[in-house]
Amino acid sequence: MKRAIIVGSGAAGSTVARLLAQSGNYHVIVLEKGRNYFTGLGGPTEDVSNLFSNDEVAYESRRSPIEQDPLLEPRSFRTRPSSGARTFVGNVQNLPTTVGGGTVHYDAKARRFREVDFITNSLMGGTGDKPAIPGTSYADWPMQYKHIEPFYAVMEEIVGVQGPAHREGRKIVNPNPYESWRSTPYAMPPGVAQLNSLLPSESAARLGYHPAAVPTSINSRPYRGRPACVDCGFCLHYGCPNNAKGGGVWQLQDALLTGRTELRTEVNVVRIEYERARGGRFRASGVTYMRPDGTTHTERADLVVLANSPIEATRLSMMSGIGRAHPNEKNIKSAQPIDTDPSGALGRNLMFHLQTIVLAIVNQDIHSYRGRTSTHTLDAFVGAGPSPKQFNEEVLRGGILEIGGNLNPVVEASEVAAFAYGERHKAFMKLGPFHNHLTTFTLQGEDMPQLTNYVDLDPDIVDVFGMPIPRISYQSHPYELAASAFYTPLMLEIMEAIGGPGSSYPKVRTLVAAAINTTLPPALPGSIDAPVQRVLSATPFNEIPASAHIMGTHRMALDPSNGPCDPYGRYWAFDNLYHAGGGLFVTAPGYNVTLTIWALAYWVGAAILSGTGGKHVYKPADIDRAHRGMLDVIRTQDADTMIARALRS
Amino acid sequence: MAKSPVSAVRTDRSLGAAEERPAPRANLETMPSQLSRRDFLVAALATGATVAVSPRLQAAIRHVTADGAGASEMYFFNAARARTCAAISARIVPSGSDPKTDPGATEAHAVVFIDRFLAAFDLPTAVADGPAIYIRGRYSGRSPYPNDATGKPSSSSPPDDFLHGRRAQFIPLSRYETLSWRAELEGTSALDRPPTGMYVSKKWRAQIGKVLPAPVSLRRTYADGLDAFDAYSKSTFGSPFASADPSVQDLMLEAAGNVIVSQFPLPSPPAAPDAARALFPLITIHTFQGCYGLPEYRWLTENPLWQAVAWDGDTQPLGNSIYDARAFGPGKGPNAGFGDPHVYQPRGTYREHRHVSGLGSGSATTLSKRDVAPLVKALRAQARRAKAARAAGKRRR
Repeated sequence: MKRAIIVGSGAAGSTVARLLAQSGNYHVIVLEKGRNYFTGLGGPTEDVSNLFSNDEVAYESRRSPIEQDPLLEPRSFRTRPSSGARTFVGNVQNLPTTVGGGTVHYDAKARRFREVDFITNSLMGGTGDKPAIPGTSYADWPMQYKHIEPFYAVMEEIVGVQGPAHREGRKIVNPNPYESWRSTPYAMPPGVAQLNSLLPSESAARLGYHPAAVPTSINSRPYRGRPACVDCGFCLHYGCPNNAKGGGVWQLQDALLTGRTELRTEVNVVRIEYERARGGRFRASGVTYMRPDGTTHTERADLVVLANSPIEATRLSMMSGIGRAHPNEKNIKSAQPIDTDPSGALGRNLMFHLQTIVLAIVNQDIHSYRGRTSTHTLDAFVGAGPSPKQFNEEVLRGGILEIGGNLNPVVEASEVAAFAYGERHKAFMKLGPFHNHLTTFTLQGEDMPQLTNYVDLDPDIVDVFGMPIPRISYQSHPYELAASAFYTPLMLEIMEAIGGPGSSYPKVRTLVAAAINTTLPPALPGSIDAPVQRVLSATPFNEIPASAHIMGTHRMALDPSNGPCDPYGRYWAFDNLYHAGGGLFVTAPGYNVTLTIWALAYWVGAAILSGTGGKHVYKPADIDRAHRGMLDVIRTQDADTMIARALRS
Repeated sequence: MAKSPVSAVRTDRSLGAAEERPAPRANLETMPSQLSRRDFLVAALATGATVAVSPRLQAAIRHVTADGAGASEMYFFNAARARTCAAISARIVPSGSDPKTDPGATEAHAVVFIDRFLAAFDLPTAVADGPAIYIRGRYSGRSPYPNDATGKPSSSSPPDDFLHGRRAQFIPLSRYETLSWRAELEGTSALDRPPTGMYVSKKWRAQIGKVLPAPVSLRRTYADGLDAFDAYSKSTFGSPFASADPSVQDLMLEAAGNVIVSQFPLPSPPAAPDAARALFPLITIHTFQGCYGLPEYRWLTENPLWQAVAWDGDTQPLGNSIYDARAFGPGKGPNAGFGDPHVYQPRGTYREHRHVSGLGSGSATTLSKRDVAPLVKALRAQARRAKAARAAGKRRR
């Protein structure tokens, strides 16, 4: 039996662990830096419990119990090397560090990318050497939607995704016209709609748009041993007390139930161990981790998968001498190859989403705090598609609109405190603008990949364990700023049209609608147009990105000159070292990332199990040819799913 | 979905420095009654006459300084600091004229919340089963279990996980979290006394106060800050903070926080001491946590402020919608066409226990444009500041 080490127990790591353990070919060791807030994992799923509760003080006001301390484990940030060594130290795009990772506290939107999103560069006339958008490293993905579609389908069933697409006779009917074709319906129908998602959806429909229930990885029916969601209202930022929220922990549970998986928590992996192999290549032999008391332990393995999120996987690689820990800043516009990273792009092309938020306060009490955080989506601003026939490069690519949102009273009081204390605070809390009257759009704006946005090791600062901290250098590209400016007025229009005579909610109307953006940079690039400047320059900003969507550091490519990983997530220079997670993304289409992370994790696991990959360079035909072997993994490992049946017939 | 719509620039959750605003100036023509009352107060205090403390605040002060067993024991504050803290909280979230229907920080025992957070590592085991940082889930017992077979609330509720009699239950802290929260509460000295078995890198420790910020001790900030408010009050108005008139207390809080606390702007007193200014943003957010957070953080089982702001509080395990297994079979009703007919076919549907998708009958608070005018003003001011900051940034380059 071979041994596999998976670093990180979030969506990606747990999915790879599950596949490897269920195959019977691997003994799997999952190493998690954080704590375990679940009890009874590895026993019957119905008996798994947790320590979470509807506690706003713990999960939204104090530093959350599932997050790292920004003093003990800081990160550093700057926009460009010209700003200096760093301009900020603290929380920079921190993700939860805990068993289950970010999926413990996300609000679980589960979105597929579209056909066009995998080939946008060539649809716009770009090539591998000449990206379609200047000043970027825009490129096609090495696989296409048709390759990844069965993996989206199988993960939707394994995780348990609710959504509106369903069977009518032999066809799949999808009320969301902006999505690409599907081979299966969703596993469960949409759950309860919440009013503050319905209101902007209704006004959008009157304006001619097509909103739909948002696919979400939360049980709307009892599913795989876990109960249906009760719409308790404490969703984003909160662990789910009744386990209705789907997440990596349930794939980890499947892995543990095989008896061939071990979970070790509160262990901090500090080095990947590897040796030189033949032909200038390398072979991972295991990892070394540090326990809380500072002692270290080296664990040997035949296979190492880094699934600890893009920034940490980059950092761990660089701490181990893989990739350049301190790239030459004078030459930062270029990739800088090295023997362990022939692409020179490990940690580069770092992408977030530019999140444009439009909020509206309405006159009626719409109990914004009840229900899942968002129950509807409007995909109209994600860019022309979904199929190549419909593509139009002149339509700016923004992103999906998440519809809904609320604040709870402790955080609302803090917001209200900006302009009211004492009696006025009390009066405002009774009016409850942010817990009772709020609705919001969040546009998840596609980020352009740039080699000059990257992760390296801070040259000076270490964390409490003595390890160098990751430094994030990042600045928005004019493209996403232009898209934000373009779509903001359209979002405001929808909000201002809420309710009123002739609508389904005649007594409801918007009192105030405003745009804010928590991730806009303070200094806008000089090269953007005046109309864009006008909209953006009046929008409050936060220099430090806070989208929690992190992509690009381990870009997949068909050959080593275009990205650090092959099309199956393997580090080019290594036989047996992989990344699973958002780092693999080539571009950052304007969709929530988790379902694509899940699909790619199954993809990576299926490649490992089927012996797919291992080449030094690939052609597109290689991806087609290897696909059958990958699908066999679905057919055998998850034979009881809809997609496996569809593949067999 | 992002967290904080209005106040734009925060990367941690503590309240940042309150925005700079010029001290409000009284208008002699329009508010003679206010001015003459204030003049009287100042004159009265200057001559040493004491202003009567309201009976409600008096009762609260007795409550928080009681000796012996009870939810009101203080574990960090001495009597004077407890009184000052309670009085400040009472101005940040004041009680209405009928505190039963319009409670504030006094009724919420916000000072108990703050005191026991600051004493988190020192509480006796009869009071807390571990460091008092994160309440242990899952349920308060205020909501029953749902009955999936009927789509209605069941008649049984879970026990209270949060509070057993007088003893509150907390998530045990790991060594890492113990170091983290001790540093927060005690400051840099805690970094030199890490818990047994917690490694602390010397190189990291040497960065503290240089490239890494030195943690400010919350306990020190409260002790010094509360003492400073008292000294400020005595030297400016001739009485301890807790016995000053509420409008005078408001003046001092405005000077410390440089934001408007009271309804009417009054002339400002001398500048508040630094320790009071450092305390103000912290006591503000902790008062909010104490008032609107789980009551178990104050060793209570009810939170009347939730009802006052028309918010449901914690709702698990019942939540707002209940699955009803009998409603439709597999592939029927809202389940038609979903799932795998062989394995995971959905069934049943939801019953909304509270309005989730509908408006509800006769909504409680209907807002007008005038109600949200201060919010609009704040949003516009933020936009103006963003524009100015960007323009300044451009000029510098």
